[in-house]
Amino acid sequence: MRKLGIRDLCLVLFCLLLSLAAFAAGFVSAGKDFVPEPVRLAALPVPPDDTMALSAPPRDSSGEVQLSPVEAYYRALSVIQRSYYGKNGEGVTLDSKRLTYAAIKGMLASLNDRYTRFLEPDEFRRMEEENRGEFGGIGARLEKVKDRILIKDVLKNTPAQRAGLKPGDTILAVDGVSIAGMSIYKAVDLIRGERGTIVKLTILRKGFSKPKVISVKRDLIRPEVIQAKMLEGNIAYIKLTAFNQTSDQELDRALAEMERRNMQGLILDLRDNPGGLLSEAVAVASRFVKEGPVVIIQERGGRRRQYNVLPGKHNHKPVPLVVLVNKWSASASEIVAGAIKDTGAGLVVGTETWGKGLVQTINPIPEDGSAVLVTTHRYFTPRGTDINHKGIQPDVRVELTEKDIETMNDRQLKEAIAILNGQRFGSPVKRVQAQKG
Amino acid sequence: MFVRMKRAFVPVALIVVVLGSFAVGRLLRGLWPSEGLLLARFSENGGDGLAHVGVFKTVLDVLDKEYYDKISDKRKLAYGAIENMVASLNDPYSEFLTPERRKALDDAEHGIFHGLGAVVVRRPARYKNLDYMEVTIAAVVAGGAAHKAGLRSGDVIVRVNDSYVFDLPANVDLDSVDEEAVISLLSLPRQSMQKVPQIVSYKEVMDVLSRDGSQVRLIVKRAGESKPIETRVTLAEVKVPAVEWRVLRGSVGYLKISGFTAGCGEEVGKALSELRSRGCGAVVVDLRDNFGGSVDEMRAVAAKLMAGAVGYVHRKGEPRKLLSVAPEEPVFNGRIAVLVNQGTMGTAELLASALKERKLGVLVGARTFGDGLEQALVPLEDGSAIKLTVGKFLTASGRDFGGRGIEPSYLVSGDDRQLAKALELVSRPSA
Repeated sequence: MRKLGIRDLCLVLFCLLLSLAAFAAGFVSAGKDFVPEPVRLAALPVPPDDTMALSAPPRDSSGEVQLSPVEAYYRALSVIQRSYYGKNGEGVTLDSKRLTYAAIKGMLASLNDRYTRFLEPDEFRRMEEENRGEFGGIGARLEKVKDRILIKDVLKNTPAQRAGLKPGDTILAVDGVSIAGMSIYKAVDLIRGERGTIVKLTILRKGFSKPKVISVKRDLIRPEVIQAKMLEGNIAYIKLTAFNQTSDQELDRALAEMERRNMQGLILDLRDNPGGLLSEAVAVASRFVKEGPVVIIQERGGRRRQYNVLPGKHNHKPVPLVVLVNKWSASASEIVAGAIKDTGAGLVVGTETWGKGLVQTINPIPEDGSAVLVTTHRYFTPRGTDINHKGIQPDVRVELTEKDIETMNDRQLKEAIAILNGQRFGSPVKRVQAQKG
Repeated sequence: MFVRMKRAFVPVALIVVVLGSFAVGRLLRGLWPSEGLLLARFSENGGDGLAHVGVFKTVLDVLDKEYYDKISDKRKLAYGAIENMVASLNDPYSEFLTPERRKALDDAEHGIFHGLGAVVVRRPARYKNLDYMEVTIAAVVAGGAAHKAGLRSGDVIVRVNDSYVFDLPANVDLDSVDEEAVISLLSLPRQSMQKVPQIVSYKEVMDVLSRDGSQVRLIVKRAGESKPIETRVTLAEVKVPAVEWRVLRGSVGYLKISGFTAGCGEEVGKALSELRSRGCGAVVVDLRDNFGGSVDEMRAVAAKLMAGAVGYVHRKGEPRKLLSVAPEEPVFNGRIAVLVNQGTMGTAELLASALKERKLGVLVGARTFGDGLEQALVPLEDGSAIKLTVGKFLTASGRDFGGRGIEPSYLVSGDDRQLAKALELVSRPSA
């Protein structure tokens, strides 16, 4: 073997240099993949005499200067934190999180789409709980009367019932914090919490000489989304109050139970149902619609996607069906009602629905546990009707007057029963019974 | 072996080494702190300044990618963000100004007013349990639409056309507002199914009241009047002379300063020398409905009337700074009476307080507005701007007049009676 000469040494050096250069190139090129758009750290405005000349601000196609949202937000945040005086020189008392949330909410509000909104971490948590259909709480429904928060309803087999809470009780404070004048959402937030923990409620009740503190141990609460009963003439009545992850499963169970009790007609009450998950709407509609599309969604740019009846969901005996709707039937309720109306799977009775022909997607933001709910699609009923702002027109319009509401005279339900008993359009139930017999 | 295989091996080895190094470089860069980490580190050093930039960016990215409709105007997103961030400060004097609103403000600095011809502000108010913001006419510009319609400083605007005016502090949740209280505060018609009464915020009111040429119906509440007052106003541009002067009886000069607009100091100097040449040994300085304005112009005016301390300005984290004026010969050294009212605002209040505290003039009229905060304009490159409270004015004796105003030595009501009293005071030989 020959000794290494000067030429070999040069070669090795050359290789080393080359690899170093390649390393640097790799390092820099990888950096290009994620380096954020430049956030100006220097030369921040110091009012009042900073003129803030920027080099070549971006312009839009018409040549106008375009203010970039990120830059604008950042600029405002910096100047507020640096120079805002406050009331007595304390400066800004909101942290950058609160200021950022305000900026995000303002930005979203400028879109003029009420459904695109920012969810702070606690609001996001609550929405997730609602979608799951279960949460840690005490099992009492609250209502606000003037500026007092009362217990409206105590659910069975819940901590609230075990602790002896009663409808009509006024909640004055939660864990010693007064909730007078608080929004019902904030109050609910304070009362809910992890299963197994204790919440102390200061309760005022008729007959109490003074407020009493009652400790309640939180448990997992699953508010019912289904109320089902059998009416006269074997007409099943099923009320669905929300579309969360349990809705379709609960409906399946209720339908099976009603089938066992010889259901001959069905009233699906979607009145006051504000909607919920799209997937549940598709599943629920699939129980009644035989085949084909349930809903068609369309993204920006016009690309459409069709949701068809889910296989295996159309598993109950078809019976004459009436769907009850009103002004407060929204979103997922409208998808179900629209699919049933368009496919003729049933009759829609009541008043025109809310008119929300838009689908939102929840985008969690991992940085801080918040989320942004963004309208991502329009939707159309199977026949291609856009219901946004218009709502679903019922097949049979029945309005409730204020007097009807006061006297609890549910003329919409009565109409549905009358239809199913054959007093309106022939005899759907009797026809079914005749076929059977 | 090295030698023998050299010819074939070298090019291959070179390529391997280069590619390998490139890959290692990329890999290492990938392990470098990402954007989020970098931002977090900044936040540890410089307050919590940058901690949430990432959240804002994420939301914007989601909109960019997924929003169902085309977002044609990105500027609107930027405006919405800044506007609400500034509003969240809950400071009635800090606001985001669109290019149009900023132009209106620039015009006002030159004495040109649009629309109502008045300074309209939000002021915190309370009704039963309800904390809300009153929309108040703070100062009325002479010759403007509001002035012609008989509106006065202190009038609270309750209705604009068919809409009801209602505004909330930024930190009050609409959910938590007692509906009954709002209904009774605004005397809303009981809710009927057919017609829901329309409620407008301060911002919406300002939009309506800034349109020159249109007609609006205003209903205002005025202190001391049992019933609301209804007026029709034709909105129009008005140019206010910075200074008006004349000679009153008994060789007393009268000098009205509507606001410290550009060139005001110089005008006052000219007016005073005219008055002096007409033999006026005393002057009534009318600062009623003076909307304030530039502190530098105010000091230029003060320099014609006095020397030394006018007051102080305090900014966040700094010691308070003396605002003094070097005397500008010839300083007016006759007797001075100063007319003030609830429309005397900001820097005008500071000037009035200086003349009062330094015993150079006697104040006549009503307690002043009580706006002791200093605002600065932060211009943004597309012509919009942020008007931000950046400091507070204190009187020469160090007193904070924010919210309280300056109390005149002679409380007199009625425009004519105020002038008569001032005239009487300066006409009398000084004791």
